[in-house]
Amino acid sequence: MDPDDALSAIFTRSYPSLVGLARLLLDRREEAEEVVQEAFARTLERWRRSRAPDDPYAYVRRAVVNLARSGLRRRGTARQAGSRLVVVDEPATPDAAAVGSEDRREVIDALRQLPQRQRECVVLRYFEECSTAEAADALGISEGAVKTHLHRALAAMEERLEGKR
Amino acid sequence: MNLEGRIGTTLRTEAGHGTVTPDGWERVLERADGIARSRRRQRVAVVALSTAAIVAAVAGVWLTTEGGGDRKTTPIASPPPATVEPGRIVGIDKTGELQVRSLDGQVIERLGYHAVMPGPGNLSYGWPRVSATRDGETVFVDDVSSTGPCAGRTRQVDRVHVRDGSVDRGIIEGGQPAVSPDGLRLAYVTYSGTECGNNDTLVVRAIEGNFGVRFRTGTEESVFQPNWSPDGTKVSVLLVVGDSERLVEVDVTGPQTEASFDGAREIAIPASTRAFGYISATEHIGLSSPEDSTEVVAFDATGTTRAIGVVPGVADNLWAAASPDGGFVLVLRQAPGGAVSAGVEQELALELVRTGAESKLITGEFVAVDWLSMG
Repeated sequence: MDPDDALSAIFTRSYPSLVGLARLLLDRREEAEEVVQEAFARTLERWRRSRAPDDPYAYVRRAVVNLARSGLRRRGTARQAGSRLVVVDEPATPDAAAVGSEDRREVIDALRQLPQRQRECVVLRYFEECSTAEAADALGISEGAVKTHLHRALAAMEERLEGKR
Repeated sequence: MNLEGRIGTTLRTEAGHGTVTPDGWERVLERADGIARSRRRQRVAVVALSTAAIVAAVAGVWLTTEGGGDRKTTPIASPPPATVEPGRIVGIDKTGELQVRSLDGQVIERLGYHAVMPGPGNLSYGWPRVSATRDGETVFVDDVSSTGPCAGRTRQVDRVHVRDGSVDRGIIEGGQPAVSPDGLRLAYVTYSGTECGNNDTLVVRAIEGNFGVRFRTGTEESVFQPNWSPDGTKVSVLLVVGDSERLVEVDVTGPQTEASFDGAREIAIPASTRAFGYISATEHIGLSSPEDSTEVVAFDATGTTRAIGVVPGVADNLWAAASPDGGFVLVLRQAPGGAVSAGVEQELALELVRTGAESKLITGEFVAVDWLSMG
């Protein structure tokens, strides 16, 4: 299979959702597309040079998570100070209508306060709808660690959300 | 709706906002070609340098990086022994403790806790920095608070005296300290606007006294990672503007003043490379992790690279620090799949890199390191 054609097809199918994933991990909308493009570029360059990844989409997704984490680390304090992930009022969709904008704001605030790894687990599980095994693969950690992070993350988010009631 | 349902709905709604670039795939192709070109250049350089290193070793000299693009071989008075290189490093380990270690990883001194890690698995929180004077007597370290309205963001700089472990807390309000080669000045970043805002100001000032210069960015820009040139006349810093990152170099020999970055010298960062400070008067360290290994390069102001070595694992944007003589580089990298200790995944590894030689793993897990001494 030609790597350019194969990856281009994945790009067409998955680019918007991967940008969404990157946005949730990065906070900064403007960086999300750059991260996803870089992830595809690294995957493509590797594929052209050696062999196809076992699961190209999973490989790209793992690269997106790693690059997003790298971007956060590089920025240090700006990550907390410059959080750009904000709830924006926009035309209601059935999904959005089910949870009001104020409620979403609280959820996003609670998510933002999580440690990075917990946040990654939450985003992979509830946005990407990854299984525990898929999340573990994307993060390069054990399934047990994913479960631990998720458990702690949900407990922390619940506590924060309940505290606002 | 239960909590998991609320989270899922919220994330799908929030992630869906905004549009995506129509020519995204073309940009991917351009990036991939750039990575391939960079890889070819580095491979050629590694082969050349490995050969040169063998020749130099036979001649009894070590390669150093003085002289920028025109490399010279310079003898070092006391060549290191074959197994354990001399010198000490200082680092903040994953629990936040400041430690002095030998280059074989043995803990020599423990210097207390400064950078608070707010919780297990939270290694990325705050990313403190440590910087040591060249005489190995004093260490400046980020003191990242975990309390108050700007928890994790509020930083002050502590001064730690290695000899007796005493600490002067909060000598400066700001973060990411870098001490000058003469040990008399600090470069650090801070913010000028609202509390908890982005770092928008690079400050270079005398540790004792008020002499200094402040370089302020525009409103949408931020500054990170100040680093001193070996001669102490310039400071490089990452200037982040929106989604682009520039490496600029400012002259810090001028009078006390307020300045902007308009007159700063632009340093070209090679494609797919992250920049980390000087390795010589004319070159900077770069790390590139195109896949499962990390290439360590030096690059000059034009972005021309030369290979230094390769370390296993990914080191995107973690950290690198050149030794004062430019002969070694410490590289922090990720090491996924490690055991879990005290609820924290062991995901950091520290490699010692010497030009043209295989890297060496140093025991310990750090979030920041610097050289304390070479002897």
